[in-house]
Amino acid sequence: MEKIGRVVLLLLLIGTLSTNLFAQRINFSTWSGSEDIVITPVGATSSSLKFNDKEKVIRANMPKIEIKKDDPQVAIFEITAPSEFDVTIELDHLGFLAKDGDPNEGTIPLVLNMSYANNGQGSSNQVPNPQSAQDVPVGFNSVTLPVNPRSGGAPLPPTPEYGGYTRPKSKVYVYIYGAIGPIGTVSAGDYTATVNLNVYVAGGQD
Amino acid sequence: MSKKVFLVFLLGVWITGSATAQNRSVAIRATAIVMENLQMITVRDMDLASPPIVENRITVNPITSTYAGLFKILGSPNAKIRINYTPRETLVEQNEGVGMVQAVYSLSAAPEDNQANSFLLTQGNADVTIGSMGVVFLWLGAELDISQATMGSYVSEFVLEFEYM
Repeated sequence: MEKIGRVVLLLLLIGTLSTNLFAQRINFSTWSGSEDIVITPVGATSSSLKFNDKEKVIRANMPKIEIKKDDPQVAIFEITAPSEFDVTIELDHLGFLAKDGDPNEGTIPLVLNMSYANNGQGSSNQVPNPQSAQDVPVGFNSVTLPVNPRSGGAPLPPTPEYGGYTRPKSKVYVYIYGAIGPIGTVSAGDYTATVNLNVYVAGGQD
Repeated sequence: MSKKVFLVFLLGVWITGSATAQNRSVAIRATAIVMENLQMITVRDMDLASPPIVENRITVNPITSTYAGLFKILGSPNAKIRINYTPRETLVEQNEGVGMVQAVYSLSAAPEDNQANSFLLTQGNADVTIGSMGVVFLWLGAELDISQATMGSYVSEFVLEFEYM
């Protein structure tokens, strides 16, 4: 009877342990200082998507206008994060441009796509190259990826920062592009949308 | 045992708290400026019958003559448009086909309906800015050389093209 009691206790203990281990594995990746992720726009025009730079004259009842991944109008961001982290990149927008920011005044459909390049291998001299970027499938607005690609599996717990040790960092490039339209019978004016690019360390959002 | 569990919970809360500091966001602005469709209205045709003939020439100055034709182009305020037109034309008499009239056209433009304040456009093509009210006025003038003309009927088709730059 006592033996059965011990086995049950052991099982319970294993159960508790595995739960704890799971929680620790997930949360380890968030254990770091707050200055670990930096997002910077690349190039002069890249913090905005100006469809008039692609199609100079935009008029009502026009077909789709598309900014492609390798077009000069693409918005590029450089994310610097510790090499051993996984990051989740999320693109947040409403799906339309609104006249003077007010949807009641008129809207133009907006579909955005995202690609990323995490092939930095820790090099700080990596130059953004849209050709090597991976496309996030259409319809998905978030992606989780290792800052520095590894052969597989979950990330190892990061080395805590101590003394003179700082974590090695790598760069991930994010390309944002997409299309507006078809443009309906809208009145002339300035149509805008704010798109948020959120980056956070994966696993810490529960 | 219960103390340990409590500690783990505390640690969990602290870690979740620190996770929010890990967020980084940037805002991107997507923009498109939709232009008004360009539209031209002929307000008044050029009158070539009334002006006097001086030394085999009929002259209608686009800036000063009351016989000048008047158009207005409607579009997006402050947008630039490029205007193309045929500046020179030879008109052949419609019935006999003998007589000829040499025509040279000129245009002037102003953002408001004030002909005297309009400025002469370069011949053939010119860049014009639409006024803040979304309209630009164009006056059409001409100089006709009728030294080779015979009696008859002369028809001209003045073609004006314009587009946003």
